[in-house]
Amino acid sequence: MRNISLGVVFASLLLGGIVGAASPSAAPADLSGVWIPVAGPTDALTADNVRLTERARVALAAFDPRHHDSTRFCMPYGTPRNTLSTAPYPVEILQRPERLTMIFDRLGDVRRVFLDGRARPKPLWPTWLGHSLGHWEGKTLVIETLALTKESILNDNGLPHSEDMRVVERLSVSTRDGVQWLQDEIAITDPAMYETPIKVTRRFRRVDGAPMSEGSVSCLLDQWRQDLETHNRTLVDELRQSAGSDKGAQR
Amino acid sequence: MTRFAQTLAVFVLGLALLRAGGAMAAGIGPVDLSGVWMPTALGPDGNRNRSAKPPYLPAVQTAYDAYRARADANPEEYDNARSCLPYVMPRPMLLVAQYPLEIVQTAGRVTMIFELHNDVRRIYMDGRSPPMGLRPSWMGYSVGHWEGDTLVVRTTSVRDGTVGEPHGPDMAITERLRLIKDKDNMTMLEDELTIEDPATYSEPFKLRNFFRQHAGVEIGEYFCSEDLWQQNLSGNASKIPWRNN
Repeated sequence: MRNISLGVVFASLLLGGIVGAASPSAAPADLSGVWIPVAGPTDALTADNVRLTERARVALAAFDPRHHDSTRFCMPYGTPRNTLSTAPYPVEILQRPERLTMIFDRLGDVRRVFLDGRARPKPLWPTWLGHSLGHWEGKTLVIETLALTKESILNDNGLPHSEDMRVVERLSVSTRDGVQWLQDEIAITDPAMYETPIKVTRRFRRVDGAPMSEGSVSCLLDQWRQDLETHNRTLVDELRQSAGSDKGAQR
Repeated sequence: MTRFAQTLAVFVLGLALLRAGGAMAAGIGPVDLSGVWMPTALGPDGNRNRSAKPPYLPAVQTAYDAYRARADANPEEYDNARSCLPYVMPRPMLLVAQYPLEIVQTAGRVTMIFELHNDVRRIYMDGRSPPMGLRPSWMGYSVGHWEGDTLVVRTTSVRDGTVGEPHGPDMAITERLRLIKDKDNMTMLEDELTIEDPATYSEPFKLRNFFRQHAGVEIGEYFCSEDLWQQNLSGNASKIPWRNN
C-alpha cells in the first residue's frame, strides 16, 4: 500500500514536471517583453506600392482623416494597423503556453492570440482587434486574424480594407549586434480591396524596462484637457479648487 | 486513518504538488490566477458584501460632502467617467458587477486587464522596489510577492487631484489576493484591501471584494469614445468628440 501511495506521489510529481515543461520556458521562442517599432527606409505603405481595386480607389478618394481615422477619437488603431504602425510607441507582449497577449501603448489596443487550438466561434462578428489564432512553425509564431471591422484603416493614409480581410503574421525573434529584434512578416489578403496580397515586414527592437503609458488614457486625457481649455469651461477652475480644497483639508 | 484514507490523502497531496509544480516550474508563483474574473457583490456565503464606510478625517468628510453635493447637482460636469477618464486605484478592484477583468500571470509579472476603460494594471513580481521620482498614474505603481498561496500587492504613486473620492499623495494600498471556496465549493478570488492614507483616513480603511471565474468568456472590446465615433460616422459629429453636448 505504502509503495502504491509513493507511486502516486511520484507519478504526480512527474506529471507536474511535464506540465511545468510545457510552460513558457519550453516554448519554441520567447516573444515576451517590451518592443518598439523601428522604421526602415522601405517601410512606407502607400497607394503607390499596393494594387488597389476600383472599390478601394473609391474608398480612398473619400477618405477624410478628420472623420475616418479612429485614432482622432481616441479609438484604437485596430489590427493590423497596430503592428503596421512605425510610430515609436512600444508594444508589450505577454506570452503563456495557451495565449499571447499584445498590449499596444498609446491607444490601448489589446490583442489576444489564442494558442490553445480552439476553433473560431460562429458567428464571428467583426471587431477592432479581430479574432486571432496562432500556432508555432518551428521557432516562428504564425497568427491568422479574421473578423476585422471595416471602420478601421491600414495606416494614416487611409488605406481601406473589407471585413473579409485575412491577416497572417509570422513572428520571430533574432539577436543582432547584441540587440534582440522581433520580426513581424505581415501578409494581408483582401481581394475586394487589393488585386494582390500586401506583404510588409515590420521590425521591433527589445526595450525592456521602457515605461509604458496608460494606453487610451493618455489620449483621452489630452483631449479632455483641450476640450476644457478650448471651451473655457469654468470646470477647470472648479476642479482645481476642489482638488485644492480637498488637499487643504487633508493637510 | 484507514488505508483508503491514507491513499486518498497522499493522492490529494500529489495533486496539490502537481498543481503547484505546474505554476512553480513556469516561474510564475505557487498559484496561477490567470483567467477572466467577474466581480460580484455577493460574498462566498451568498450574502451581500457590504463595504465599510470610509473612516474619513472630519475635514476630509466636509470637503467630500461639499464635492458630492456639487457633483450630484451637475453630474455632466463632475463625473470624470463621462469624459471617458478611467477610475483610479483602488476603484477598478472594487466594481461589483458587469465588467470582468483578465489576469495574465507570466514570469516576474501579474498583469490585470480590465474590460472597463480598457485599463491595464501591471504588478511587478521580480523583487524590484518602486522607482524614485515616479509620475503618479491612474493605476499607480504595483509591486507584489507571494505569502504562501496569497498574492500580496502594494500600490503607491496613485494620481492625485482626480475627481471623485479624495486621497492623499502618500496613499498606499495593500491587497491580499487568494483563491477561496464559496458555500457551494466553487472557486472565487478574494481581494482584501487595506488603504493607508493618513491625510485622508483616521485609520487604515479595510475593504473586501470578490470575483467569480468566468471561464470560456473573453474580455470584450470596451472603447469609451465608441458612441462619439459612431455619431461621427453617421454624419452627426459632436464638436467635442468625447462629450455629447
